[in-house]
Amino acid sequence: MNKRILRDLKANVIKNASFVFMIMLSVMVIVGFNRSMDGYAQTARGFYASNNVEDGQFSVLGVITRSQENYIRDELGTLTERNDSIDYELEENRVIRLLRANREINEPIVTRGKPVSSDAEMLIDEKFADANGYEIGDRVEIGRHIYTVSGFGISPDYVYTIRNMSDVLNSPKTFGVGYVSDYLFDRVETEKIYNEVNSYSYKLAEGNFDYLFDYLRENFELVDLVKVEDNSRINTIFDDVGGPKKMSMVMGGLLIFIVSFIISISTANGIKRESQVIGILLAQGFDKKELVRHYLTLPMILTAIGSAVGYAAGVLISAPLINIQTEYNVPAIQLKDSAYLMLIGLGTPLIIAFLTANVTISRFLNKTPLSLLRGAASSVTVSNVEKRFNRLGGPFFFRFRVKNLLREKSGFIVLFSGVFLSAVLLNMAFYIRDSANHYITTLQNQLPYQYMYILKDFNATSDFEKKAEKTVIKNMKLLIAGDEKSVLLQGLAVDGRYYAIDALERLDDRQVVISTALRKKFGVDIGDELALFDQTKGEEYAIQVADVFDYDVGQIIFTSYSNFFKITENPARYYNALLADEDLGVNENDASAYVDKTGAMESIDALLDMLRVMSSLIISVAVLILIIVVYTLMQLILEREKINISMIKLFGYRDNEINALYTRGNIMNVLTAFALSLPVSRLAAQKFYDGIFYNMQQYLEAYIEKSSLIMSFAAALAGYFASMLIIKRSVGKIPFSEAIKNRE
Amino acid sequence: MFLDVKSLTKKYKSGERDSLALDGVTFSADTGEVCVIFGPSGSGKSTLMNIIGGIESATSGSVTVDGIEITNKSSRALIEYRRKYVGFVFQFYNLIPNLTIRENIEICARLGDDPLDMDVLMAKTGVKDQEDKFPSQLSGGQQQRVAIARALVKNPKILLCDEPTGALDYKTSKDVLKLFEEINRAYRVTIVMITHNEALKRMATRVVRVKDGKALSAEVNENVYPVDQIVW
Repeated sequence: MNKRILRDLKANVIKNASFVFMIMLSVMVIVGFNRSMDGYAQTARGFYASNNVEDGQFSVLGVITRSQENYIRDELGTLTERNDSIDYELEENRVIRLLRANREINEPIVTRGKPVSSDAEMLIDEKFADANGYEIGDRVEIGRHIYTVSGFGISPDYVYTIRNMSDVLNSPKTFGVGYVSDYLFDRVETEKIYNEVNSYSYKLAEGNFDYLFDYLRENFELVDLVKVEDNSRINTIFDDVGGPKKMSMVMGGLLIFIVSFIISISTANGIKRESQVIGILLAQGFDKKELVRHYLTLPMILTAIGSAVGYAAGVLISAPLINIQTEYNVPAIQLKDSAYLMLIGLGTPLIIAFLTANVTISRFLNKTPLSLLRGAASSVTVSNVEKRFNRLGGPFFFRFRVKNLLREKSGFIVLFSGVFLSAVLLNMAFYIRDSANHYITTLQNQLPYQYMYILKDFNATSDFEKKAEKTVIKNMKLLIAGDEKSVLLQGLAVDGRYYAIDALERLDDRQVVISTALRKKFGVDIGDELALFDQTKGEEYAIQVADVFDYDVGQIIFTSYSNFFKITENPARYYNALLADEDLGVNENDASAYVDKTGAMESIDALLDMLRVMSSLIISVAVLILIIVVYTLMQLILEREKINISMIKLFGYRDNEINALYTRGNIMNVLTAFALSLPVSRLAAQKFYDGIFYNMQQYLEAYIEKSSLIMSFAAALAGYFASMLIIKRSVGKIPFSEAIKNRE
Repeated sequence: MFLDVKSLTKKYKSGERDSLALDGVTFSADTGEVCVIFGPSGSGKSTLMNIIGGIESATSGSVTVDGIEITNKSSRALIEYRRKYVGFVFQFYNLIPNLTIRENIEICARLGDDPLDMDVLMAKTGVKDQEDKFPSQLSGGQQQRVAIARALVKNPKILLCDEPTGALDYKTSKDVLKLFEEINRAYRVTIVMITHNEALKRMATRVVRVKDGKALSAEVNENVYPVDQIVW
């Protein structure tokens, strides 16, 4: 019996190798992506824990005195630390932000080199150093100081090194952080900061957030509050690794199912072919269990080889896969094996293969030895569906094809699933690339200003009013279905020149205009009554959506300047932001946020390069899956039909006519799967981007170009025709002996 | 002659040694004849029929059907030959199980340039009442009638029958043989029938006796019996 297994293994070497390859591919994708992304997340988590990551940060107008700090620490059990930072402009529009190396919260880690040990040394973020060619030991002139780079390092609050917390993308070429001694900061502490908005990080040691919050509200004007889970510099990394993890699990899992079904169909074919041999073995006293074990052995061996090789390959590729997340400044990634991945990678394929094959095999072996001897397993019965279809009529060849489809329905369903899966992958690859491309165009067309500044000193906005439009902006949480979504509330002058929102004039007291991005992302619309939560005050405000403004760049709730204060129940009137067409020359350190349209577009361009490589990779894998699935399944279906095919060959049908009858109908399968994959891949791509932008106020709409759709369709067709070309040769090789050998 | 088989040889390689399935077989038959080739199992009669049917190649010798020498034809030309000239009937009927009786016949009707009327043919072969049924719903004799109708529908010049009654009981066999007799008369199609049943040689106009790959005799039967009068 074991010799037979070995013979089967050798006789169908291409088919068996395809099975092993597909199992290997699925397991490799799951293990590779998850191991690498888990390593990323675990490394970040470990780093955050060991380097005292903040629990959040807040901004107040003015400063917290030393005695207030002590009170908060001793009485409220919470550590606070001012986020001192000074931005310096270097040549070529580059900005470096210097931070204290000596911090209690968000301590920097040295990833290479040595920590800062003198006032003339600097620890610099490695991405910025790489992009600008800084080496350890280099001397860098910043402002009036010259620093020697003592090493590379990063603090938890700048793992995603973006200039403003609201920025979508980092740009290591133009922005980075450095850590220097207290000396620099102690010298610049002036009266000025008492009039400005200052940012603090807090760490709740034994403290309670509510005590801190109440204290801050009573003693300060709280301008902004960002809890750690909303801090995109700290948390985007977790959203970002989630995408590839989920995608690989779903795609890999589906592929394992498809392959397991293909293997069970192949096993069923083998049993049907050997029905008489099985009958003889059973008649001679072989136990049914022994036979089940025998027929299970090959599928299990193939699956075990595929899983083991796939797991090993997954472990191998997990190290280079770390590089798909190039955006983050993290210490060296530690990749670890985890029990759940071993179970998924090595256990699941075996369990699925065992169950599917076992059901198929047991079904055939339940027949009596005598009926098997008479060929019961291979005898063909006509199902009721086929009989019912018979009454429908239609042209002969059409009926012939539909009947084959009904006869081989399980095979065609699996084939359809495989084509569908690869079509989803194909389209997603194009969606991911085109969406980012589309975002640049949207940004170009819809972002109405070149520069935006949010100033630390609100009164300073008046200094620029001739060159800029003043506006008021506040971070808010939109309460939807028990969830808090980050949005911006922006108060605009009714006759403002940047946003042409006609509805602003007509708004009632609590009415707002939402951006199309907000409508699409959260499904809110005109007439909806919504609630905004102001974290800095702990209060909720009711609003009503009066109109939607065509603006896909971000989740913004627009309202008139006067309504802004009515909604936020604030008797004061102030401006905190400036919109301008030219650089206002605002000192880097006077702005708490700064948007430069050109810079934003350049950073997305850099991301696009990476996405292009990624989509080419996905496209190749998708086409490969399509070819293998179509080939192996068609091969199995032809194997089952080979007696009939041999027969009609013998009658005088030409090979291309036979191909038309047995394989060409599949094009409908491909077309339908492709058509159905379009909405699914759109949804998947949208989820992919929503996941990445979960904590951000930006919105990226899934988008695909018509030309990409054509390319995707062409790739699917190319894959299909490539497999059909191989299949055509198989049809030609079916011998006449299949038809003329005796059969009962 | 319509069918001319000359010095036909077929060698098979089995392992180290060659085996001779046909060894210089020569015989011929005229248009509309019933030619029965009989001999014991392993005598080479199936190989002979396969070569005449254009599904197997000869090692040497020639086969000419209706003036066309098929032994030197390319596989593409042989497809056209089978398509236009040959109808096959097998011992185990070989009907396509998921096609109805009508569809099983229709699949071959589409091959001929001048196919016979299906309804007339079904009526003649006695399966008209069963046309919407599937093969599994029919008895062996009825299935063989369908197989005969299928072979005939494209209006072939030669009908090759491999043990057509081998799987049938005596009475049904006689019915099927009578059908061959009728269609031979009605359509003037040349029938080459392989059998190991020596009694069937009486219904033939020409009898070829094969043993160990050799044609022991190839004779014209002057005294053809109607099937009704043949017993075995």
